[in-house]
Amino acid sequence: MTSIGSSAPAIGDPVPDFTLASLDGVDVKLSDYKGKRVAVFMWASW
Amino acid sequence: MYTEITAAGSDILSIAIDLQGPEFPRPFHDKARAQFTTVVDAGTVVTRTFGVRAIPNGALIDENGILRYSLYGGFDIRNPATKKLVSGFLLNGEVTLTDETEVKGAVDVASLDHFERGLELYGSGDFEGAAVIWRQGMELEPDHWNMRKQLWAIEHPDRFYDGKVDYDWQRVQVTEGL
Repeated sequence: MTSIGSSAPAIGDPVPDFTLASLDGVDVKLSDYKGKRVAVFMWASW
Repeated sequence: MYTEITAAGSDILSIAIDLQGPEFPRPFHDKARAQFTTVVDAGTVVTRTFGVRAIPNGALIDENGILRYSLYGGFDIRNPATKKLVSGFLLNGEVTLTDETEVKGAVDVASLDHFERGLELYGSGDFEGAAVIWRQGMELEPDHWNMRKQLWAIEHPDRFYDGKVDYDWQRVQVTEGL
């Protein structure tokens, strides 16, 4: 069984990079925001 | 406000967790007239990266990519304490916690394998097979809301996409253990 809770970043840890497509289909990486403070909001339409 | 945020060297990244694709979150993004970027997670990128199984969530990440704050589950920017915390971080780089500031971090996602196997089946068009796997996952982990709601959205699209999300219906499903 895959377990990720222990490998996910705690406060003070680096957040692993990821890539997701924007609503317009453009790839966006978390690392694109390096050098900026960023607030990440996670939500859904449901 | 967004202009102030970017002028301060900060930004906002919005992640919609919708396996049905970008057409579903797009109306919400447009209605909010959001100037920041919204990306779509139709898989388990968010689950794997942050260790979450529910929404709404907020994470504050500094200039060096370090997690400075997290509230996974129950994040609401309209909450005065949350709004003050987030704006303080974005505008001034400060993370000031008070007695009213809630903090929730990553959890073990015991049913991740079920979630991913169901996503594969769903992606191949086998909705029934996906539903079977996800129901097994929910027995293992009833609090995996991202999986539960995707299942509901597939089986009962009229409760989600027919003009509004029917939260009363969702509460009944939970009460009746469905």
